[in-house]
Amino acid sequence: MAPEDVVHVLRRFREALVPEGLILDLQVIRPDPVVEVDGTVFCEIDGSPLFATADSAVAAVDGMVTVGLLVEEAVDDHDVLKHYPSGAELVTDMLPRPRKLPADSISVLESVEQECVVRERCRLRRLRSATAGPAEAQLERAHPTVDRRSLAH
Amino acid sequence: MTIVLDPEGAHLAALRRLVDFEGMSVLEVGCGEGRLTTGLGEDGATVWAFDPDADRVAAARASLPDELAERVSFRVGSAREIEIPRSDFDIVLFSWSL
Repeated sequence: MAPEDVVHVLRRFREALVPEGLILDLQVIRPDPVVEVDGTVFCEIDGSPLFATADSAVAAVDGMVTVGLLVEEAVDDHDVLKHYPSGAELVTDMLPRPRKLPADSISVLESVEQECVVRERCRLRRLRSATAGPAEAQLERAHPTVDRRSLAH
Repeated sequence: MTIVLDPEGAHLAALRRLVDFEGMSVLEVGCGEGRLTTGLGEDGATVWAFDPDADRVAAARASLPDELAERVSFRVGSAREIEIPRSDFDIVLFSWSL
């Protein structure tokens, strides 16, 4: 999602909340995900394409926190695992994705016949919607390309 | 054996650590195949969930337990364009969708 779209969407759905309602935002975070075989790290995955998207989202949320439209109340970092029956299935699944396996690991990984796991770090933020006021105008000045129709709710 | 994302339930556990969903009205943005949606419904939330991928939404509908059908509904649409049914949700959940 383009940065302007992130701001638009965030504002649009914030307005769907009751006063002081909650936004929960789940994102991938650094470090790069890893492939594990038998509990041991086999290789790292280049997570930069997803981090770029996540960074835009975080910047948009942080902007709303800065101007007082959202208040961050809690953060929960946790690992999430994706299980593959074999290395070959992992490689097949990953090939069309933006994140990339290291080229020199692919052929070796394809030969792994046991279960492979991708371990990824994620962050969940709990943010409470605050009353809009002068901060709304401040945010609008910061993001003048936002579609004003999002404010029509 | 198939490819399985988060069979340990780490995402749902994180959500439960931060929020008690009992009785909450939740708008889920980017529900995918409803992996988190069902859990929120089981916790007692009313969930209005959507995703731009029609195939994934179909899978979410198909996997929804009958007992949650009155509390959980799915739509197909994008976060930019979808018509939001009302403006009184307790919680908006962005599942990697911002």
